[in-house]
Amino acid sequence: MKKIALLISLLVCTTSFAQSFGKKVSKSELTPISELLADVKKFEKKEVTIKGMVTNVCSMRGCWMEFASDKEYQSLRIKVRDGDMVFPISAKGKIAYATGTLNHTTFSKDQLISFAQKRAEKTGKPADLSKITGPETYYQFIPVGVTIE
Amino acid sequence: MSKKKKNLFLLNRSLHRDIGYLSIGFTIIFALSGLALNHRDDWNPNYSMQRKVVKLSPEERSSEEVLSEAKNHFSLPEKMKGKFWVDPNQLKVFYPQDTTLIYLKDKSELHFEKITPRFLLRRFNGLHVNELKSYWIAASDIYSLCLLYLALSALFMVKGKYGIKERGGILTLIGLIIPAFFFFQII
Repeated sequence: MKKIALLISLLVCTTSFAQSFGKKVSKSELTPISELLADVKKFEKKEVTIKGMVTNVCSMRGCWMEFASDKEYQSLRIKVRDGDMVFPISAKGKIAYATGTLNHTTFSKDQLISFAQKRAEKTGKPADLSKITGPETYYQFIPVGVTIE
Repeated sequence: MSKKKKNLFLLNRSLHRDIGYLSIGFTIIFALSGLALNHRDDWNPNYSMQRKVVKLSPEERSSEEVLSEAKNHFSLPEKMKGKFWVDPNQLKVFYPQDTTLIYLKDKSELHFEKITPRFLLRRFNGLHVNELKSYWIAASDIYSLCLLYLALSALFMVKGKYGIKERGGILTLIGLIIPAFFFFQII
């Protein structure tokens, strides 16, 4: 009986531990997400650590998460190559840290229209192409290490 | 058949049999998860999702009012993990047990989402895509070598009309032609 109790308490302790992926995250120097997105050139190719509440997780492959920014209505996607790290759905609502670099990709208007049409085809919902007015730049954070508390 | 050849033949059969037994567990995991992952565009192989939508009366609400109203419609855990306004129109509230509440202000809608990991498949798929790394890499490497041995040793298992020189050869050829057809479609 004692052994079972010990095993259960061990399991409970284990589940309450932080989950880590990749390299160790350095929490000593944090860069606010708003600062990172406000001056992209300054942080280009520079390794930084960000912190945020996880607001969304890829439910198919666990290959991305979204962090809430310190600025209202702002979030940043944390993206890894499929299988490099697999983020759990249970991370939603938890505080997480990620060390890595900011990456940006600009898509042309034609590319965005093509993406929207493909998405509409897949989901069966009509695409609102009027919202696509020109090229857009998307930002992603490419982590080398992530910790979910 | 010389005695040496016969011994090798018997050894091959014994190894094929024993390695076959060893591979059963791994094969079940990789085969089932392979099927599940192959069709991930059609379904979520890792999680089952429970979704409900409730239409609210169109009026201004604070996040606290949204939370209290949500409790009338859905069975929600007592304590929430956190909340976040995605934009001025969308509030997300996170609860334990992978439960999320989404409030769409402009549509006056409450969306309830509960995600439950599929007990076996979530783990099988995790193993298939090597989420664990560490020792699982070694274990699955050994399994790959076992499969390779099973495939090659099968060529020398049977003699006569069912062997590699007759029916076995034709079946082996079919098994090579099918992937070869797809092989050349990959650029």
